[in-house]
Amino acid sequence: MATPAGPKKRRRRAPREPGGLFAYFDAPEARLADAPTVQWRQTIRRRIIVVVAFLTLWTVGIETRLVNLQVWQHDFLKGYANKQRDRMRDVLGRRGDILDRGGNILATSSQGHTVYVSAGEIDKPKEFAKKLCDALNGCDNTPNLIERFRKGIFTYVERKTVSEEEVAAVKALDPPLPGVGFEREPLRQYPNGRLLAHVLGWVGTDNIGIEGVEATYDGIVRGQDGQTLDMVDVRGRVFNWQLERPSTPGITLELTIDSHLQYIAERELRVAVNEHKADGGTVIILESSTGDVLALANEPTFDLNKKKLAPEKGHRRNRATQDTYEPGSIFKLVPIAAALEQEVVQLDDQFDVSAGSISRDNWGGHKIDDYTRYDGSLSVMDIVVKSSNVGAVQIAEHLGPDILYEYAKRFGFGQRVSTETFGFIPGEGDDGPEKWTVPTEFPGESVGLLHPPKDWKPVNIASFSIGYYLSATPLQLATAVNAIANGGVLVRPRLVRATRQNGDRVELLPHSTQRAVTPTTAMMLTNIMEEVVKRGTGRNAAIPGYTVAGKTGTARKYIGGAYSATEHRASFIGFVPSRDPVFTILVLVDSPGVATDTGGAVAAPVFKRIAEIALRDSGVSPTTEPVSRIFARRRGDSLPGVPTTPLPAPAYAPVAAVDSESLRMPDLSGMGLRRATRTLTQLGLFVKVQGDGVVFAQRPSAGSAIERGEEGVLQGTRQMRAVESSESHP
Amino acid sequence: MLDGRLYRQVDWPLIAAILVLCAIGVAMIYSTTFEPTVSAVGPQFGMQFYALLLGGVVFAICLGVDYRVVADYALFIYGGVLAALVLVLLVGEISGGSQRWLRLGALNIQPSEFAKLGLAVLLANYFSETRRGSVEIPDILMVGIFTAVPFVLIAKQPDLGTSVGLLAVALGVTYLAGLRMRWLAILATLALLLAPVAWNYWLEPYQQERLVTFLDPARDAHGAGYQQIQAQITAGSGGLAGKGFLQGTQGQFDFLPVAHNDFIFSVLAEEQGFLGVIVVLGLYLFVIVRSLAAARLAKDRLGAYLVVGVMSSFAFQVVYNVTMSAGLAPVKGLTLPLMSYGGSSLIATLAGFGLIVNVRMRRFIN
Repeated sequence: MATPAGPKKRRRRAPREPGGLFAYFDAPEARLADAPTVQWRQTIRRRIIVVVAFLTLWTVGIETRLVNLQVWQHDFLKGYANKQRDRMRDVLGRRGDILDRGGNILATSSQGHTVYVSAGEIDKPKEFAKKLCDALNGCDNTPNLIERFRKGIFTYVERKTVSEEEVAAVKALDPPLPGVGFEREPLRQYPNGRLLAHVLGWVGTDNIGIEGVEATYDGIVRGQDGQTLDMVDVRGRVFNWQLERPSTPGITLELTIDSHLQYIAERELRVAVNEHKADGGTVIILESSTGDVLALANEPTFDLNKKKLAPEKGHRRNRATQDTYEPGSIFKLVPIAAALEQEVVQLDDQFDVSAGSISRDNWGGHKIDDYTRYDGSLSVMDIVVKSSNVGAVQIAEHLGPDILYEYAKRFGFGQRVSTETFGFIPGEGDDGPEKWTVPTEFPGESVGLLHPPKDWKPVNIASFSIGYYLSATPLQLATAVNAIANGGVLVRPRLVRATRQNGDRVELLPHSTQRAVTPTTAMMLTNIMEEVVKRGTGRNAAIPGYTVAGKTGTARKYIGGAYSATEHRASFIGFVPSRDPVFTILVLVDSPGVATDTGGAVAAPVFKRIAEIALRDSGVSPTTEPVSRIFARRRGDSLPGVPTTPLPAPAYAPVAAVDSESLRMPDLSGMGLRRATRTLTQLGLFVKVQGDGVVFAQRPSAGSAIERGEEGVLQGTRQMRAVESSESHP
Repeated sequence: MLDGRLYRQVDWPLIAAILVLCAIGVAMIYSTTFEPTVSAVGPQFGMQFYALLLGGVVFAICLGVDYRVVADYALFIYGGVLAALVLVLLVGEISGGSQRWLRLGALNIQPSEFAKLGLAVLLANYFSETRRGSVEIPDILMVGIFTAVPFVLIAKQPDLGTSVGLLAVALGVTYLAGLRMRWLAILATLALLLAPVAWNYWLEPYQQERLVTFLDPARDAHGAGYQQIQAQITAGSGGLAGKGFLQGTQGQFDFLPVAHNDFIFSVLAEEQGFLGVIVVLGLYLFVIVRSLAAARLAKDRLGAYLVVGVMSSFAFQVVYNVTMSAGLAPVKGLTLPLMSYGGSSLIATLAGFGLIVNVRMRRFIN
């Protein structure tokens, strides 16, 4: 045991100055000797026991608390910890491609890289931005970037548009830039840029279709998102992840669009709009028999890959389906159809139009003029051919609102053109095929205006008969006229004809049809429309070698409460070849610069140019020219039947009056194929030739009754075997 | 310096317990600073490891020199620490809003950690030489002055946590030196009366906020109450057996801020579970009780008070940190000695244990 002397001795060795603060410590020996050794030890012992008692109590308390946290509340708190650590992240499925009818890619998806900066405040933002942007081959809006870097705000430097090489360049920077991160995001690409922009639409940064087919078919094109479980830290940085559910790629669409025709349509429309200093325009090409939309072009348009640069919203609007306008004279076909079908008038009934204008007492002072005044009277056919308003009004007055309204509805006015589309995704295993439906193919499609008959005032009948007092979209108009091309059957146009997935191609069912008018009425209307092109307002649409049916329209625009004297829309709709239509084409030019730019002057030539190219490139045989153009004349060949100018086309009697008995198939056996083809073409047949040399077989057989527009098949041979001239092959 | 007789008296169980705690601490620092994305550990692990080696050397020195010699230099040690604290306020490194570190070449030293040790040595020396067996007013005043000077200097940094540790030293030594219960009661009353004054004049708004949110953490779950809530989630999600080494997500993913520092105990609770916590708490209790035994066995008052002084701040920090980690005390920047990251703290703590083992080892030496 220690003695009081011990510490004292040691203390003496301590170098300590006398006095000062420590004088107090430096107690005299006597005081130390009195120090109660036993007493301090007892105090310490007792108080240590108190301290240890408190410690024990504390330990019990803490352990109780920890049992509470770690055992009782364990599940709850663990759930909480997992919740703040786990992030379910959607993995976007690859969008399906969009193809044209030939399988050419119109829209496709690839993976783009996104570069972001999440680094907190950056000391030298300018230098940082320069290094980064140099590696990325330049950035947009660098001053804004620098500002964000300086403030330390999370910033997407470039989204989806960074290439693999640029990513590598950023990663290779030495020293590395702090806080630069990369993501892979699906990037939608449109290889043709402007082509078909309004129909295709586009996709937002979240991979959801916003306009056009991308929007309406989004449900099946987008595919299904997968899910990934990310483990993130408090700043949201991902440390670890696992795939919870893989994504499913979307379905590829095969459109009815023909890229080539689309290109032609856009080119010709652009030329026309520029030439006439017009505000805009629309071209629609339908495949007459199916209603397939082969081309749909609008001006102005935009580049799908540079949407942001489209100067204003008007460029992105699909005028063909979203804009409505008063169709004007084109619409005269509807009251005429009603009048003919209801047998209120005959084609050759005469109406007096010599006044050049018309007005009635109950019209409230309104007056309707003809564009050109005609002397005397016009037949029903000529009223349309010459587009006489005065005549059309008189015909319509025989009908009344109810019938006019009924026929407008039959031709599809006042209703949306597009209907619900559906199809099936081939299922695997037990799932079976899965049905999908799309409510409409054209987003934001307008219905147009068609007033119910009870609202009509007497003057409205007159307006209606010449294509006012109602409005329609260009597509509605094209669909209505296409019904005439189809022998009176209205086919709803469609945009998508098949889906593709994993090599399976599933064709969609054609859209529903409805009868607008009887075949006879359709024939008569066709005949009238042929005359329009041949000798009426649509002469500029005539195409050598083909019969063309069409109708012009020049509709004045209703601006600020009155019909403008200068602003109008010039339009032309027609189908070709008129007796076996392949293409139905609408051309609309909005506000051409000069008031005299009528539909016949502005739109018809565009129709002609487009139709000519379409016919040629689709291999549609000429229908009227006696000599097929595919046969070149060889030097020295004498072809007595071939005149240097086209022969006058055979005059058509009304279709209903065609005497089928008058045409018989000649015997062509042994004839040179070239001559045989010419003979049949002159008879108005479409000729298909197989082989070459001389004809040894033909169909239909010699002597059988034939009709114009029918197909004749000639088989040729070069072998000089005997050809039984009497033999005919079925 | 260490002859055979002394060597046999070295308290090996205490040293072993300390080493185990240090090892667990280093392992936990490794786990919390591990970056899963790059499979690499942060720099803290290496630094703590070197601090541990350096602490071992300091421990050996503090063990080798007779504590009475150390006590003879008490005033110089205390003076040196004060000088260092003044220097910190003048030229110290500023980090995270406070000025706590002195830069010495490659080393960053936190003098406040050594202030607790300096005060303990000084107070032990003081009480060992008072005539009386009990503590009287002059002693309280002296202790008050000795404590107040470094307290103010450290609080100025600001580092309220460490400065409160000084109060623990003063209170601990004074109490075991025989502070009358009457005085204890008076001091407690005084503290209570001063509390509102302190609230209004001494505490910064953020400190007030901390105290208020302690009572209701959900009040500001994303601000001041965040750490407290996260600490409970961290401990609770560990469960009975824990998530396993390197498997904790609260610390690694930084949901629990400064996990490798103030909340190392929570990380332990998360990864090693309740069982790991029991083991570590047991080790700390063993260290404290074993040290108090050294105080009881000390040959003289100097030794006893020295042990008590060193142990007071140690025990205070352990108790406060664990209580805080369990969500039962306001969040304060008080580390868990031996385990938390911090070189100065580790070295100072090991130096203190060097003195404790020193006192016990020399209990039979004159």
